[in-house]
Amino acid sequence: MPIIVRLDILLAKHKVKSKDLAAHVGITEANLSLLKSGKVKGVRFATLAAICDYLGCQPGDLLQYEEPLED
Amino acid sequence: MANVSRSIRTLRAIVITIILVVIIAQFWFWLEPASFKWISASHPIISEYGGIGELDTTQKILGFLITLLPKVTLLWSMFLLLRLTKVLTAEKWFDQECEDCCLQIGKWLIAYVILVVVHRTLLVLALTMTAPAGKKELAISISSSDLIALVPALLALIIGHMVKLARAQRDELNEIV
Repeated sequence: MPIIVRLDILLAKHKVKSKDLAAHVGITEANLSLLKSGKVKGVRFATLAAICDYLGCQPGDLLQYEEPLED
Repeated sequence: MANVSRSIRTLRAIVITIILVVIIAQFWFWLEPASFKWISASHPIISEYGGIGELDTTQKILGFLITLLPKVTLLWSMFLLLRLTKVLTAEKWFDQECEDCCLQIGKWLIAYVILVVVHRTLLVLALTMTAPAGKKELAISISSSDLIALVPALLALIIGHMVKLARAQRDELNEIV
């Protein structure tokens, strides 16, 4: 997946616990963990907005596009 | 939800009645044809060829087995329908089991329609097997009711496909946080 979720970096930068963010966003810690590891197919705008609101960042800070390497 | 449960229960009762009627009618018709006539029911092809009374034992056994063919497929479809009602009662609307049941019901109902057509040919062949040379018959017939019977079969296949698509969408939604 060429989209990289940079949530773990932001969490570390803001010294926020996954548990607190999950509680604020209204999703389970398990789902937040899946999101952090990029093992989800998509993110709801509502989830994205809640994360940005809690971390005081922009969606662009959370997601990064990396061109896939050509063989 | 109460309405759905009631509908499923009603469907279950109808299916069980159909299963019992099909089994009883099959045995009653071949074992006690005289009393079967009493309830004004008969097999049109057998009546056309003189009725059960005109048949010898081999023809009767063959007739019983040939008429049993489509009924077995119909009964199997009904058993699958019963399984489907159980799946729906457990609220597993979009499970693999529900999809399998719908697709299987569709396939078996198509097999039923084909066997209804084939059984008529075989039955005429069996009924005229003792006739002198030149009087034996081979008949192939497809009626509009055969084609109408394809409608529930195709509907079951379409519903099965819809369940498959719905499950794929649900699974995809489950992967969105």
